[in-house]
Amino acid sequence: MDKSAAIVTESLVKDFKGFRAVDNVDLTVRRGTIHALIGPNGARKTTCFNLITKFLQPTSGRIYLNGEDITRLAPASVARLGLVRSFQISATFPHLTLLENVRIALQRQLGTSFHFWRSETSLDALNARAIEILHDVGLGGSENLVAAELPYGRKRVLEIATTLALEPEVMLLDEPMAGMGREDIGRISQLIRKAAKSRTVLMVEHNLSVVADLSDTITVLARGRVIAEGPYAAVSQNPQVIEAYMGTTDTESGAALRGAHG
Amino acid sequence: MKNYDMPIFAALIAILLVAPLAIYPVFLMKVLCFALFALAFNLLIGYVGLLSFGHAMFFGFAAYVSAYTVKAWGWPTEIGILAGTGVAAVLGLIAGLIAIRRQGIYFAMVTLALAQMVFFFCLQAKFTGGEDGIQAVPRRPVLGFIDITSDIHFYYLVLAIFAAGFLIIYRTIHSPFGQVLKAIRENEPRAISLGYHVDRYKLLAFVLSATLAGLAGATKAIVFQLASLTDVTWQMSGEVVLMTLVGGMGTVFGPIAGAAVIITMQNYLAGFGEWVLVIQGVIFVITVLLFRRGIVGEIAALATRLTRGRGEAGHIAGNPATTS
Repeated sequence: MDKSAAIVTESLVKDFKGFRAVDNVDLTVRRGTIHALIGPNGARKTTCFNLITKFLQPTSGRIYLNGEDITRLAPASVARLGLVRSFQISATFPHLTLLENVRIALQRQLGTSFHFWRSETSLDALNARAIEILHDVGLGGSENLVAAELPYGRKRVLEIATTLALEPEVMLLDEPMAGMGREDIGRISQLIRKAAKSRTVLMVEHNLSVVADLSDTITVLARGRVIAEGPYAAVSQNPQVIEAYMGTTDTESGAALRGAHG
Repeated sequence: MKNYDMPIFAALIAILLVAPLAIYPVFLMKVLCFALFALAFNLLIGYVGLLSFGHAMFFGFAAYVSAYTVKAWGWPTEIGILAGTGVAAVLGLIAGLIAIRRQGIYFAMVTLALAQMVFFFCLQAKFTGGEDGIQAVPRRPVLGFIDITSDIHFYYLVLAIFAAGFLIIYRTIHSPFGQVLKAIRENEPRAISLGYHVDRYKLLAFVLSATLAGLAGATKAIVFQLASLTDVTWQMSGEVVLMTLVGGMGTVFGPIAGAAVIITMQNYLAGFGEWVLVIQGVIFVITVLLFRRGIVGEIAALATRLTRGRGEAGHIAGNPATTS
């Protein structure tokens, strides 16, 4: 097994009642790179993601994080090892303020999360750091807003800020740019690039063009199998990839390949 | 927004201190016991999003334990109440370990099933006195010197227990632990992905809720000098849901208001006999249809709308740059 890899999956299989959703996926995410997992609708990208983060239990196969076998761990334990994920639908705590959202991630390190007798003012010590993080992602000055009041694009940014607060070694982003306008896509791309300077990023995307100049390696998934892997230039010319995208009835995927969203 | 919880609580306690001048103390004690029960229940439904439909098992069983230890074993009142509370905590730990693995309606059904088991145990066991219950529980001096045989004396002790219970719950909600609870209620998968083992947090919240429900039940047994099957029935579990909903789920003071309304109704409408249940049902339906936030919830929403209207205008006027 590759020791320089952050995440390795070996023959990962997931069956749902006799139906094979994920079929022998071998994935190697090298440390310090941005790795994109792409594919047309129904490629089981998110299923793979759920398997790696242990939100789903694989039927067979192994998952390693920094060479350590994490196949049998609980999802919260995986997060504690430094592998933190985001979700496809924006995952904020809607009725908490931006500051509280980020602080939830920070407060774990205090080790007082079970202390029901302690005042919450003890958490104020984390405020400066939380504000700093919000500032870094461009949400400075709105820390007292409630997350639900943010426009969609900003919610995704808040989500990334919360994830970054844990200083995860490996960050998994599930379609961080889904449903976004061009301007927001630029903002998020920038943010991901900045975050990836000191960590590994694995992101799921639907649009090939979006990840073209962002990722170092692209793995293309179709119907639960890996059909191609490599840098954008190679992958986008791969006939199997073109067929997978064009072969679908979903016109958006076809458009994506032609770079309409770029 | 400014937090007025503590001033309101101080005012409430001040009113309750002089209330026995106008209102029958046993009635007030009953309201306080049920208010504490509803507050404990609200900790779970309002702040973790778990609907327990078996909270009577903690309330009623703790009542049996405190009544029995005080009457049969001659334990001092305060130790009897603590014993009831402690047994409720253990029962809460066992029930919690089983129930928190499920969510939503399944969680409610598991708690209901467990509560029914406790009910049948209480019905069959020798020490509970079956249909008669445990009657004529003595009121011994608390700590050996505070005489509680007169209702008015005991009232102030019950008020102190209620205030302590309220403050424990209030602190729990506003603690680092409470923050995690809110995060779990808002978005459980996200809380997991941030590394929180959510089941452990839910379990602790469940045990705290069960313990305080037990404290309420144990105290009630001494107030009425009686522990009976009524307090462990599933109807009692339903009643606490009703109180919390009518008062305002997830609000700090809602359960108190809800308990006061429901107990007052039961007392003053007692002349209608079984019809009280029908009236309660109608109130429940009206609450769910028209006042979903409950009494306190609606008042709070109104207050926010009024202050917000002013606050927002000022915010925009002061910071035109934020619109970019």
